[in-house]
Amino acid sequence: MKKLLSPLYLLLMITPILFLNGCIKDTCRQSRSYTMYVPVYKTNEEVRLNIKSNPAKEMERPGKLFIKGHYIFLNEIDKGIHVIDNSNPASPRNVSFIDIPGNVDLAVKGSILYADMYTDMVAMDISDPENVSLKKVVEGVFPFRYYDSGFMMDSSKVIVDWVTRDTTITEDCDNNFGIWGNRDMMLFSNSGSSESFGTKATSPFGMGGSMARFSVVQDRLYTVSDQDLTVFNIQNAIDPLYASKVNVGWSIETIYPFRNNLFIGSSSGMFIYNISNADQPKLTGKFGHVASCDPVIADDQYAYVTLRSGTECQGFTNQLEVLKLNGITDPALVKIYTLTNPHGLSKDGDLLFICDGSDGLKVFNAATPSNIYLIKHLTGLTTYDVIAWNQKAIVSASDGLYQFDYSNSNDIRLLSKISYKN
Amino acid sequence: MGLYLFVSFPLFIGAQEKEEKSKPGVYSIISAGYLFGESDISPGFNVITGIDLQKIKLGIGGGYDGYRFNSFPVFADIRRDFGERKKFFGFINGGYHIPKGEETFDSRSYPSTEKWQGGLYADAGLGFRFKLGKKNNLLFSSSYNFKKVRHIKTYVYPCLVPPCPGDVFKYEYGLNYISTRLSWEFKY
Repeated sequence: MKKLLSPLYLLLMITPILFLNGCIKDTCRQSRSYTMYVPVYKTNEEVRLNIKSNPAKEMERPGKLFIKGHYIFLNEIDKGIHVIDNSNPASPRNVSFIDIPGNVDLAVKGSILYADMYTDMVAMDISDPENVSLKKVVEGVFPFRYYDSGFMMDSSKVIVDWVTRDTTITEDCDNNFGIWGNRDMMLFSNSGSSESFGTKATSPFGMGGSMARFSVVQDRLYTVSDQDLTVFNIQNAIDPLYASKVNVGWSIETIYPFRNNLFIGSSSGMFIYNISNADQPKLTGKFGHVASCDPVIADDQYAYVTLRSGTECQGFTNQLEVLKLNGITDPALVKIYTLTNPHGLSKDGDLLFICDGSDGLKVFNAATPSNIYLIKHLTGLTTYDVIAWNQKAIVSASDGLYQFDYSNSNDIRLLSKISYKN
Repeated sequence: MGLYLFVSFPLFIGAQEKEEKSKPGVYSIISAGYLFGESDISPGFNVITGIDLQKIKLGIGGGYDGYRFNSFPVFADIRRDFGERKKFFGFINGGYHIPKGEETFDSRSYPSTEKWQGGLYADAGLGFRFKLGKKNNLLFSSSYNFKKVRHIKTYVYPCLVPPCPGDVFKYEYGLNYISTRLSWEFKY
C-alpha cells in the first residue's frame, strides 16, 4: 500500500482529473410553458347575422369607450361592444352586447355607431341602444391588420374566438429550434390558408400592424391607422363612403378633434391637421418629442400630451407636456410635468384628469397651464382611460369601469364600479 | 457524478495507511483557483473551517463558484490526510449552492426577467501539501465538481391592456467541471 501512495501514484491520479476536462460534459434540459391558441371560425354570414343586441356579457378585456346620451358603449377588445345603461350613474346596468369580432374602436354620429371589424367597417343603428341592428359593412378599409408569429389563417372565414390551452414541452437544450420550429403549427393547428396577412383576425399575441382610431367631425369619420389618416364621408350616416387617405407618418396612435383641427398623436410627436377642407386634411403644425406613447387632447389655446414608456411604447419618458397652440401652426412647449405612467386624459373646464397607470387617477387644477397642480389623487386602481363629462368621470381601469362625481372638486367621490371578470 | 466517487476513492483507502499522528485541533483553509469545463473557464474560491479529529477532518465551508452561472456554495467538508508525513490528502464536499437572484431586462420590445435557482453542489479531489511551518501549509489540489442550476427566463409580449401574455423558459443544468486550486491551510 505504501507503494500505492507514492507521489508518483498521486501524480498519476491527479493528472487524469485535469485531462478529464475534455471528457466531461454539461447537461441541459429545457422546458417551455406556453399557451396554445386555436382559432374558432365562423362564416361571414354567421358573423353579420350576429351583429345585433345580444344578451349582456361579463367584461373581460375592455378597450375604448364612447358615451352617447345616458348609454356607455364599451369595447371588449376583439369581441364587440358592451352597451351599458348609465341613466343612474350610481347603479349602471350592463344591458346588452354587440358581437363584432376584431373590434377595437368605435365612434358615433347621431344614431349610427361605426366600428371596425378586423379589416372591415360596420355601421349600426343605435337609435334604440338596447336593440341595435347592422346597417352596412364597408369591406377591406383597414388593410393593415395582420398576424405576427407566422400564423396562417383561413381567410374565407372570420375568427370569432380563440380556444387556449396551457402546454409545456421539455427537451434537450440543443433542440431549441425544435420548439420554435413547431411553435406556430402548435399554436395554430387549425390553419388552413397560405395567406399570412389575415384579413379578418388578430393574433392573441398583439398585432403586427395598425389599430384604427375613430373620430367623427360633422359629416366625416376620420380614422387613423399606423401610418394613414383615412376620411369617410358620412353625410348619409347610414351609408359611409370612403373619401380619401393621407399619409401622416408612422406609429400613429391617437386622434383628437377640436374645432377645425385634428390632433394626431404618434410615438414620435404630435401632428395638427386642418380639416377646413373636410376631405383633404392638411398638415399645419407639429411638435416632436422622444419616442413614447402619447395620447393628446386640446382646447382653444393649449394641447395636453401625455408621454409614457412601457411594453408597446418604447421610450423611457413619463410626463405631461403642455403646449401652447400659437395659431395652431407652431405649437410651443409651455411646461413639462413628471408623472408615473400616464395613459388617457380628459379635461373639463379647469379640471384635468390623467390616468397614471398603476399610480391611479390624478385630478389637476389646470386653470393656469404653466402652473398645473394636483388636487386629488385616487390610488388603488390601475387606470387606462377617462372621459370627464357632465360632472362625471368615467374611468376604465384594469379591474373595472369606475364612475366618479366631481361636481364638487374638493370632494371627488366614487359613484359606482362595474367589475371586470378576472 | 461517477467521477465524484472515483476521485474520492483515496479518501477511503487512505484510512488503511500508517499515518503521522497529529494533535486534534481546528483547521482553516482558504482556496482560490480556476474552474474549467465544457462551456466555461471561471475563477472560484472558498473558505473552509473545521476540526481535525486526527483520522479525519470535518468542516464546513462556503465560497464563490463562477462556473457558467455565478453562485455561492455552502457545503460540508470531509477530508483525510495520508501518505508519508501527511503530504497528500483527499476530500469530498457536498452541499447546496445559492445562485445570484434575479435580473430584469427592460428591453424596448420584450421585457424579460431571468431568475436562477440553486441545487446540489459537490466537489471531490486530491491534493499535495507543502509544509510552510508547524501550523501553516500550502496546498495544491485538483478536483471534480458538480452543480445543478435552474435558470428561468420570462418574456412578456406587447399588448394593449395588461396583463400581457408571456413565455416562460426553464433550463435545468447539470454542470460537470474540473477545478485546480491553490490553498493556504493553517491550524489553531
